[in-house]
Amino acid sequence: MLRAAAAGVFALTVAALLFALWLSGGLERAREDVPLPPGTAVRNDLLTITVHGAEIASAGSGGLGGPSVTLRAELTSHADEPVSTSFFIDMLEVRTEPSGSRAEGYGSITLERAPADLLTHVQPEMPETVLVELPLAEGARPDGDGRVRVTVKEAEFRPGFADESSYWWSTDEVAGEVAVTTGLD
Amino acid sequence: MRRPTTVAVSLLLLALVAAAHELVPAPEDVTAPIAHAGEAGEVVDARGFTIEVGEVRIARTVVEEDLFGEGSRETANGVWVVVPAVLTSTSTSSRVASPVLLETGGGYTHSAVTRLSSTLNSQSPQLDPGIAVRGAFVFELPPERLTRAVLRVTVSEGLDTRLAAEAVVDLGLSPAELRRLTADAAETTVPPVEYGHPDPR
Repeated sequence: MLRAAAAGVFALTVAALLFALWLSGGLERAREDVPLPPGTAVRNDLLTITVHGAEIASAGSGGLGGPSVTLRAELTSHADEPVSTSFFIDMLEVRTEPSGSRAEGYGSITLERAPADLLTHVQPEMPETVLVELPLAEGARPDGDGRVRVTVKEAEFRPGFADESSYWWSTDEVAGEVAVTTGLD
Repeated sequence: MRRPTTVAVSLLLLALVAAAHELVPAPEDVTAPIAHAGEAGEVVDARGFTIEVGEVRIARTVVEEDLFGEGSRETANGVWVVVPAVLTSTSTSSRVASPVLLETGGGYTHSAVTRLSSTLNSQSPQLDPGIAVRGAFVFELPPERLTRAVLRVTVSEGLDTRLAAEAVVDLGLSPAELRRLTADAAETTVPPVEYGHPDPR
């Protein structure tokens, strides 16, 4: 009798846990790791970016000196005030394939129509075609790579820890991932 | 009888606490520059510097002249808004802080462009007490946002702009004036930064 009751409680507990797992989406099919094609708009709370092309520069051939990646993209800021370009760069995770070299460090954004001048701020709701140049991590050997994968993180506007002023921060959530073959056109 | 009264008073106090909490200024507001408001065409005293804004020009293309008189042309994504101004420090040597802002209709704020090299914000000239510096701030924005345009300029002695002096100048562009300026928008020149001229152009 006692054993039957214990088994019943166990079965009920397992059923409740499965139900909770189903409610939270844990039984859904895992998202396939298939990136979106170039020209697909990806949006988070700060920006919409449509990557059209990319170019990989090996050491010494890019504007940054070391190996770098340049993205050609249409960028729109959804903030209602100018936002420093560094916050937009923070939203992007870029790596070249097949070597898997990652972009790391300080990059820059310029307008395609004024490529000689670094952009300091992105103006609100003014779509622009931009060139995003990002240095690859030290030791990267992108020679032979022909594809660039761009992961756009989700964004949130919140205070910092030491500086309590509110800024745009990227989160661990992914808003979308685009893969482009090299060639900026 | 006492218990309902206690509950009501407690709820009222909780509501007052929540309301008081809402009144706590954000950290960035506590140390924001100290603003002094005025209008275009008048000398605005921002306690530390004065600013007088001249006649605003709107153009599709701006021309920047270099030292040799050669002009380079830039066409706007929207329109250029050229805001001539004269700034004079009234206390210590200081500089125009970045970014210089233009608040516009619809709740949008734009920063002055930095890729034009001869503007007041790009040059960031030193403002020495009593010596007027004139030039222009230039913005690039969609023309439909130009309603209720207000210029916001902060001047500071260093990079730290906390509690610095700030002028907030209403450009006074009426809808009729905006229609006229936008219809006439073609090409204008960005005036160079000059010292010792007390009148904005």
